[in-house]
Amino acid sequence: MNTSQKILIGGSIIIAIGLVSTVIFATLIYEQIKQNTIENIQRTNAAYLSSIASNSLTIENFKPIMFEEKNQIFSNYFEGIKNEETVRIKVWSKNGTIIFSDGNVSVGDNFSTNPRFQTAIQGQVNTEIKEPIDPENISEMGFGQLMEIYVPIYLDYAEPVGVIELYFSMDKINESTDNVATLVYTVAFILIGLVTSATIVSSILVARSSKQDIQQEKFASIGAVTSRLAHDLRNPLSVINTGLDLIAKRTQEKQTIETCTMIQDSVKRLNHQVEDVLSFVKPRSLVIKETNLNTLITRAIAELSVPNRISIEKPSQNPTIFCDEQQCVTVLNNIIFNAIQKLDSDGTITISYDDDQKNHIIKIQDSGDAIPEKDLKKIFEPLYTTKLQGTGLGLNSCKTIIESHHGRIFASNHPTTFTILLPKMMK
Amino acid sequence: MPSVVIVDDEPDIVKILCEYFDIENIDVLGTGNNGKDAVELCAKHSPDYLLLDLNMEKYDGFYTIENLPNFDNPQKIIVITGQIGEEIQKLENYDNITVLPKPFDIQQIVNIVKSKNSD
Repeated sequence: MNTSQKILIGGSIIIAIGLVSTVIFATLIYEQIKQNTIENIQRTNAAYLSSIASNSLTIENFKPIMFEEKNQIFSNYFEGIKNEETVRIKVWSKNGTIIFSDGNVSVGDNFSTNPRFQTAIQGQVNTEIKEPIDPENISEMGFGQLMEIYVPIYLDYAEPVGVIELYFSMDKINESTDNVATLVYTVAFILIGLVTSATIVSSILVARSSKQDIQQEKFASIGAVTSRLAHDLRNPLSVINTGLDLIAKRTQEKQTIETCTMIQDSVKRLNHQVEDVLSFVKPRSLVIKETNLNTLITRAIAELSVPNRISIEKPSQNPTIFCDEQQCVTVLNNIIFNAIQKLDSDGTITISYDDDQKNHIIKIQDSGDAIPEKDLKKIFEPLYTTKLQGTGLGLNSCKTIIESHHGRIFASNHPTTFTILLPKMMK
Repeated sequence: MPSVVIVDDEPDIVKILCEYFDIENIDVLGTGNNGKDAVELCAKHSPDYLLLDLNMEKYDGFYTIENLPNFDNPQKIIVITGQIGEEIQKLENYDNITVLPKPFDIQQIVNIVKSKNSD
């Protein structure tokens, strides 16, 4: 399992946990709000009923006699309390007889064993929420949830003198708690959305950067090994090179001198590859100084062995250029070296110069075959090579160097051309 | 006759430079294999040029550059090195130091030693 898969799975788990906990949290909040609302309704209703009872009722009104008269009194009394939510009102005497019922049902009957009445007459307000699936009678049809509240009425006595039972629809209350719930869930899901997208984005970023970290670590260790290797290679290369100079100086034999030159060309090639690898694994910081195009081109060609069959045409202009001379020489050297390798028969390499307001434009054209279209985009990528002997690092180094100068390099066909744009103002 | 001191921890390089300089009529006043040798040999012989490797055990080339007496006429040094990096780029700022990367071009060294001596 690679890092990005791990991060993907980790991210999904985090999102899932977040989703579940948000839903639980939102549900808890909703339940809490609903609970609070119901308690509030219970409290305010009880307080309201007790207070108006104290104002306009007497202990006589709660005696289970003269039901006709009581019907009149309570009907008037409840006129101000009833609204469209009210389903039923009952008044209980202290001993459990129904004194008043707005539907005139059960008046005069005794239900003293009713547990809710018993709780209430002992001084405890109590409520019951009834689901609409099980209506007690037909008048409860057409409503959603119903609430039954039993309020003990004290008037000014120490013990309750009776109980008022109010039975009303929860529809409006539920509607408003549902609105709150909708709001809570909306906010919760917006939060989930935000957290999810933040997690996804950060996972992608982490995945990318950890991939880069791994690659950088790899390159750093390869870099340490190669730079040691390169250093160790340079001593024997120096001995071989100078030894060949020595042989060529001592001998008079033309053939031996030619052999020496041939071996020295190989040493140059070897060194070229070492340079490629080194500048890839250990890019150098820029040392900007004044130089000119001619110097750059001359130095680039001096480090190469150009076969007689290939001619190199240099530009007539020689503008002053501010750049890292050594590194720009490496760039030109790499491109010209590639062109020489590509031209197996006779050919011409043309270096031309142009400029615009901001950039020096250096073009290196060769008369060889076009670069296949599929390669054209990839040739600057590290380790991409079309040659059997290439490291695949030369052109990548060129790109790195030119881009560190804030310039651009690109390849095109017809004719095969490498174009380098170097900013004129280099700081 | 221009004169040099050669200090490199690779004996083959010292040997082949000596042989080449012999043909080119350059006087090799002394050879060594570490930075301390370089300081002592320069103090003893005052050569026209010190050919100096940088990466050597115990006393490296930077030790030499720091410890050579800094007179009005500082010791001219040709640093020949397989290393690259900012430290080496800094050396190029010294007037008396020329930096040549390995593998070096021996004819270039000969030219420097001979031309500067004829000034």
